Amino acid sequence: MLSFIFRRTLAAIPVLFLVILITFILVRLAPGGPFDEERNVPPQVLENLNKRYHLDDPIHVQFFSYVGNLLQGDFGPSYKYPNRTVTEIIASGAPVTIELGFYALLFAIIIGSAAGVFASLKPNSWRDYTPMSIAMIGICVPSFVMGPLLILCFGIWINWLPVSGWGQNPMDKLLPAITLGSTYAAYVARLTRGGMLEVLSQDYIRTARAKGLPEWRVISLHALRGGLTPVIAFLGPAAAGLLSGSFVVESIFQIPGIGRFFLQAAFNRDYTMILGTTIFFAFLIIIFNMLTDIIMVWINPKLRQESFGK
Amino acid sequence: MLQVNDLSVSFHSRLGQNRAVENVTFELKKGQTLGIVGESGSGKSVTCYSILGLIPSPPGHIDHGEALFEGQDLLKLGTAELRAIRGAKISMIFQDPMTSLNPFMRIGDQIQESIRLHEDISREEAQKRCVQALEEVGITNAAYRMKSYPHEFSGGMRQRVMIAMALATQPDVLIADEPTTALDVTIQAQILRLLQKIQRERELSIIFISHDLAVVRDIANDVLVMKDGVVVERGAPAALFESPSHPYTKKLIDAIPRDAKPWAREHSDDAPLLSVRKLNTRFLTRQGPFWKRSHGEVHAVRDISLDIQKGEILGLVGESGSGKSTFGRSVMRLVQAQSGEVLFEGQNLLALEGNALKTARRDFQMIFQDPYASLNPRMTVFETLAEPLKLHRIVSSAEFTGRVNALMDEVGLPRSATRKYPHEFSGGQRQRIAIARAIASRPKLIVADEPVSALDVTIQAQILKLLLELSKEHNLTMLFISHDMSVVRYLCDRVAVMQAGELVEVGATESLFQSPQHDYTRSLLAAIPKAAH
Repeated sequence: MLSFIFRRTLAAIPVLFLVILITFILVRLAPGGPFDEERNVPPQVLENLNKRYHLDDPIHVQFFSYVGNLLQGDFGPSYKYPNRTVTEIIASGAPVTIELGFYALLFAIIIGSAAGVFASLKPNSWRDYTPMSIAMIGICVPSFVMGPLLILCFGIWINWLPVSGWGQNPMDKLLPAITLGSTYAAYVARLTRGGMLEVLSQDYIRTARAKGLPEWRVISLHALRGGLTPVIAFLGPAAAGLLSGSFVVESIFQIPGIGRFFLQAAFNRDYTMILGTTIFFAFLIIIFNMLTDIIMVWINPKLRQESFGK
Repeated sequence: MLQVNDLSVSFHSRLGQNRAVENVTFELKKGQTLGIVGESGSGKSVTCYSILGLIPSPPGHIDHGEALFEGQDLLKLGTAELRAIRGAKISMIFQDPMTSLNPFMRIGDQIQESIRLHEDISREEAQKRCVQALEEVGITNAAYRMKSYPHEFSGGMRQRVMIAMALATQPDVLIADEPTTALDVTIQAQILRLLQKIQRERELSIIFISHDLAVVRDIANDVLVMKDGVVVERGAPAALFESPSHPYTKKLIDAIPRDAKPWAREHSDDAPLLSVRKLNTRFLTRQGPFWKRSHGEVHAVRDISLDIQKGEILGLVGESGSGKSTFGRSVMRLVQAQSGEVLFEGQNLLALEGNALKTARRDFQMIFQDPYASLNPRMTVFETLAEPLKLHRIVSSAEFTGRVNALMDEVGLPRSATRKYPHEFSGGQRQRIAIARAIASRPKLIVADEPVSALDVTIQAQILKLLLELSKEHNLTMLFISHDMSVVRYLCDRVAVMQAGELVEVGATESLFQSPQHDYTRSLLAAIPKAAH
């Protein structure tokens, strides 16, 4: 088990390095620089700015000094917010984004798998079509439409829930989490339904019924574990999508996460900020995919014994 | 014990109503075995599933009838009452022990689940009962094996676990739905003996469903023969064998391969077509944190030397895991052998690479066990059959249609079927397509790996007959791999017996059957059901 994790962690290092390298080169290939928008900067000042941030060094020197700092946990200064370092900005925004992503994922898993199981029990009946149609709508409606719609319904018309903010009101996390999670809930529902239909036609489900088990125990004890396998495989990519896609929801609901910085940094050519947020997201995505792989192996006794020993 | 009267079951679909079981009546006596025999789709399983309310409804529907058990009509019970009987008083075991156990649960938990569902006993008590149940079916070290998952058992052992699970609740009736069909003949014999032993000890009543009359004859006191949902004949098995009255019963009996090969082949004393010398195939099992170190190895084929004469059918028999399939695949170059020579018309196949190998492949083809899995589901029959013609440039594309039609004629399929896809055919028809594909390039050698093991007995008889005719017509040389001695006897000129990777005996078929030299050969022969002797 430990050696499996260790092996996966080692394999992640070159991936992360490649992400850094490619991002580093790409942001510098994009036209413009971090100080282009400042009005009427005299050439002398621009030169000083570039010197101060070592932007006049050859690119490989810049790259290696950046990676060197990175290894010490230093993401460098932000060019756009000179008073704060990238590390500080990530440290202040990341917990919020991760918390939002966590609630959204929780919402997606609970609602999605429940709807999927419900649909799979009576396939091709109204009990199947209704949740699956809703899921289809969930997949089609983007979060920048879903968010305002939810605000309009629950925040303004019936005035149950706060329309913006984060942490000021116990209920203000609900709408953003639903907005962010709804698309994923829809995917989870479809995957659960497919997985459950597959498992419910297996011979061992017939065995479970022949034992005299009540239907709910057949579903919960025998079918669910195999039926949710595709959902678990989806969780890694889903977590990635939730985190890097959170900027829309963060903007709509005025949430102080790092999604906003991620987007603005790209427009501002804030090199260190782009790199910092990208590396941070890449790191999280690698972690989540690794977790997913471990869980996938863990829930399957055969794979578990092959990979981890007994 | 169990009395079923006038049971009719139908399935409703958009196309209309389909009667699966019609007016079936039978009685199961205490401590006796009732055999229900018929082909796939004859309604034998549906009959038993309906008694326990296990047919999916809709589309299934019980039209009329009654099933009396302990004074109650099972068909009129509510779901909760029926559940109390299902698994407790009437248990079931199924055909495929590989898929009938939950792969995610330890077998001990699966057995205890059954016990604790029907009896109010403590965890410790249930564990004790579980150990007892496993010991009763011959699983040693049961307290430890209880913690294993299904994939850690072999097929025969899994069926034992299934039986332990079904019997742990002390039922009065056991419904066994083709319990030995997926097993090797030797394992089948063991499981049948086990069922008989338990039956004697417990006075258990058994309904034994099978497509194989020979197996049923060995175990049943009474036999029902079903066809298209109707019971066409019933009686004691011996009487049924002596004087079958219905033509379908006759057909089932005739299908049992028990005769020697219908004609002897004239041997040529020329050089053998295929000559295998000291062939070794090993598989490495790898494990390790970074650089996968070889952890152990499975020596599947050990130093095997074997000759096949031109025009000969050589049977290669052995149990699962004996290395017979690996041998076949090594010869075909589908698995890489470590050492040895495979001389095909004097040319060493193991030394061929790239284009030379591709050209040579035209001359040796393979037929696989599972006709469902070995045909590409997205290719029509025409595409499947035309592919080898195209690949080996056997005929020009203008002649494809004619050639494919000729192949269809040879394997006994209608020409109109070439536009269809594999899923539109039955198992036997699919195997015919697979055979047509194999002979399309007019090969000199065919390796047939258990080509009839997945088929019903009646279909098996047809396919064997087809193989025999084709081999005569084209003077085909064949390596026929099988676990079933009676099939081999019908088809093969000579037999080679493999055990644990080694060749233990080779001989002309009849002399090997009359006077087997090796103990293992004797045990294989002993496993043949009596009716097939």
